[in-house]
Amino acid sequence: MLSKNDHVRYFEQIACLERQKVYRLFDLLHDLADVYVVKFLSGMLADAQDLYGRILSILQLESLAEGGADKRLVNRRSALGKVRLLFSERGTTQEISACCVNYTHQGLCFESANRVAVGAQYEVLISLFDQKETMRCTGKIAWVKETFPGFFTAGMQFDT
Amino acid sequence: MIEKEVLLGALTRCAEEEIRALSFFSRHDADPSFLAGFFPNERDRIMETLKALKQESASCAETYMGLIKSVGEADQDAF
Repeated sequence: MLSKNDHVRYFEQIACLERQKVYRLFDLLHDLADVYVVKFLSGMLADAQDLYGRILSILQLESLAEGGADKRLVNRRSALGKVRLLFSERGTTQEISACCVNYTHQGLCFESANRVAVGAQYEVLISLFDQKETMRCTGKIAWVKETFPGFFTAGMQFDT
Repeated sequence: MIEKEVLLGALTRCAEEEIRALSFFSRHDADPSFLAGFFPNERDRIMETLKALKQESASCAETYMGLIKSVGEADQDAF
């Protein structure tokens, strides 16, 4: 029988899969001009966003609450968008691309194929899909976990 | 605009991801104790959502395959 943590991990992985689907469709639609293809992909995007919301609500069920890595999820705003982590290396600015999972004014949860180190400091640019302006913050990585092999979810605490 | 070959590659990857996701959503289908620790109303909600996810993935994989065919057969080089 699966433990509560096993269940939380499974549904967090499902949320990650559906979120990645939303990101794939956003990226494709961003560049597409063909009306026929756009029509199909737009429909799939709307369905994926709806299902993603349903998975998030499952993670809030009484039987699963407080079992996840991010116990403050209820206070966070689920917000999808692109994240760019900037850091200096040998005098040049390097960049890690990531996707936003959620954020508050205190911190950000994101996921990426790049592993980041706990304690690492970054300047971060957040471009949410539902906002025109890019947010710019600095902060350090508070936690990292491997959601799928080679794919990571991390929490960043913003500098005050 | 996206070049035809680039779009075909992207659609193929999307279809593969749907098939992988479908397998992941079905992972516990044969396990009767999977939702044993949940309240009955929670079980129903989870089952409905998993069912919707599986249906959606199967449907999307099919749609992607249809798009791959129609894009592949189209005369245009950019979409």
